Amino acid sequence: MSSKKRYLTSVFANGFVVIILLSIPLFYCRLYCTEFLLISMPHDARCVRIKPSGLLPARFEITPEVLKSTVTARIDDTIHFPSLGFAGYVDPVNRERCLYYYDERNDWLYLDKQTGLLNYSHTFQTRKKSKLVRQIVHLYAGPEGVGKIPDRSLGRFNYILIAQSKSEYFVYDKKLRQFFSIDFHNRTIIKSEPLKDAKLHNPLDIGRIKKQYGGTRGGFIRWKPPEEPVSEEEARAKGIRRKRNGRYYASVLDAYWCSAGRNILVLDKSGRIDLLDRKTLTFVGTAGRLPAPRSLFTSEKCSHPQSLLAYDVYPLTYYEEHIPDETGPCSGTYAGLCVSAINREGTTIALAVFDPNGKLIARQHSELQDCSTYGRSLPSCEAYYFARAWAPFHTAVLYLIENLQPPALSVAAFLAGETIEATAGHRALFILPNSFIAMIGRADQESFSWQILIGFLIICPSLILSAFLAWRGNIDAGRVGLSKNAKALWLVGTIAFGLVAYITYRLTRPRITLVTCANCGKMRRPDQDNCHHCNDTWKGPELAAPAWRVVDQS
Amino acid sequence: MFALIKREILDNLLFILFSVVLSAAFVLIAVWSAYDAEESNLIDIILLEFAIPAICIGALGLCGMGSSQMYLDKNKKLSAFICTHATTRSQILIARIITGLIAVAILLVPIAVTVKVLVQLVGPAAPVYASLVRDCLVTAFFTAFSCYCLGLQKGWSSSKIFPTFGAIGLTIILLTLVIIKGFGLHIWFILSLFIIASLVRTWNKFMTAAFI
Repeated sequence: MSSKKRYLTSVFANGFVVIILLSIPLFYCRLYCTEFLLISMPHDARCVRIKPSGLLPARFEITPEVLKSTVTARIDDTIHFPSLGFAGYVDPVNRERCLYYYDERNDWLYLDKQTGLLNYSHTFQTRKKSKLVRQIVHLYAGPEGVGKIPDRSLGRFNYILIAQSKSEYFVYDKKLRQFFSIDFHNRTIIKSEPLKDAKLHNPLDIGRIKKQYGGTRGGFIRWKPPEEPVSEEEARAKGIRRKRNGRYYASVLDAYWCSAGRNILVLDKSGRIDLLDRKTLTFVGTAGRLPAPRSLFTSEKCSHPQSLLAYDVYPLTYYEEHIPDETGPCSGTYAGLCVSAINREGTTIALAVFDPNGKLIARQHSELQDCSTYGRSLPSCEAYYFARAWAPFHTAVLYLIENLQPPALSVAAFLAGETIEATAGHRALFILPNSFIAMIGRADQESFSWQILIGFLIICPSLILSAFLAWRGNIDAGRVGLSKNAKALWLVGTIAFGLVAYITYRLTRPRITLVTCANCGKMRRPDQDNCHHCNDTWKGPELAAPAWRVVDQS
Repeated sequence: MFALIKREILDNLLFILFSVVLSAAFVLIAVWSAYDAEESNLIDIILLEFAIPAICIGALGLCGMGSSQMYLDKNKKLSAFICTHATTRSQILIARIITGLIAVAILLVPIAVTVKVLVQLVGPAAPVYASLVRDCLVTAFFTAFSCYCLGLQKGWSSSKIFPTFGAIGLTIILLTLVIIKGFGLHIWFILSLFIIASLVRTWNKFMTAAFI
């Protein structure tokens, strides 16, 4: 291998090692800053509430004495540690993609990739002659049926989404583009027609729609029904012990569920939430869509599931009066749904309420009310960075650490940060989709020239540092006698890759002891024929024979 | 080549024995735990409380092994002496790397076999641990070998302090990459790049040292 090729491979090898080893401590510094900013954010700024929720008809909440229904959602106390890769391996259902349900008492449901069948195991308890008998049932389900033994005639599932509702399992096969309803108890299967329009329907999740980071609750929604005052006897009968404002309150509803009634919810890749009929497995309408939480720089694309750190969907079905026999959520009244979403940086939570026809009723973003520092309410995405004591300091530190990243990777984050999935963004080492420069890149509501200008200003410290290091490197390269091409490449590389390139240069620069040039007096390399300053050659002593001889005249 | 590998194994017998003792200790503790722990959390205990710490300690040891190999070579000119026989510097380095791989295998293969057998014997019928075991063990291999390659790089120095403390510090930084990225494809890709880059760097340093 020639010395040039050897030098080039050495430079790339050193560069990879340096960028990997340097990225790790920078990551932990950023993690500390972001965790501090989240913990110091007040509880009010991490919580969003809509009161009245607007889901129930007005007649339930018209009386002044009735406590209105409320829906609340909040960001957890910590989101960055559960977003780390290690945390994702704690929960079995989280880490095993083909395991959909697991209970230690021999109950499970998983997709066997080899056979392409769903393996179902359930423990039934029945009474036989006044004795409790446990019976374990193993079944296999495919697109063509349910059986006791794994058989090819049952067909083959490929990549599936699955949701459970009581004794039924709803399955969507991404390759077949079909819905299935499997009843293991009766061993029946219903299937829909294949979805034809791939642009219109691209299901991402079905049933209980929720995205969590790590094992935490994510954007957890809590819906509280309207409550009316009741007498002490009624309160005792219903098991209510706590008084509020000196009175007992009980729910006006007899029963309510987190359910879409006769339908199940289907989340589309576009962020739209559709209603799928349980019996016919056909789409019957739109239930709503994921809200777009505010970011430090606004963006319209934030409602895509990939762009959200977490989301939670709470459909409501209720009963007004006493529950008749053989009921359940399917025979109640579907009231609509509440949807919460957390933006990819984890700084804002948005909450939206939709009526049964999918029309938006109310929307709210989290904000810090009456911020004492600014004398006004602040959106939580701003409060996160600037509101509390020491928050501006940590924001500045975070900004400077982000500017230690190579400018080339900052530009990549500006251009392509949106394509990185939100949860993965919290684990990013090289291209940072949650950095300030990436936020500018996502600000679609602003003009591109504005984005370029602000983006340039944001990475200014990084560019200044890179320029300084490139200048230092260029001087040293001239001193050690690198060729003009090599110097130019190192200059461009250091401006593009900043600190990483400078460290790589220091590790790979020729380590040769320089000697003084007899012509110009500057230091030159002894392994080169010409001085790289004055182009003078080596001057060796003349070896001509002397004119005199020693002669023996004896 | 076999003679070189045999010589390297004999020269680094302490580290090989360290790997043997560590993996044997893990096997004994894992089998003993199988009698005591409840079935439901046995594999979690074995993997998260025993296997991962054992692999971390093993990775530090492997880094020390790589560092020791290159430090002794640079300061005692071992390869210069061996090259006077019918062998080349590239063969010497390849033999060293193969010895490192043998040490990694001695550390990880018993752990892998033990975990697999225990999952088969006492694990649930559902694939609760399928990807955890596979991902953990593959990541362990990449991590251990990366730490060894890091030791190879750091050992090529005349100083005593830098190969020791510098290597330990960088190994700890590298091990924390597992916390950030988890056990999946992402970390395999990053560590593969790191291993290739480290070996190329070591190769260049070792081969150019022949001319000094």
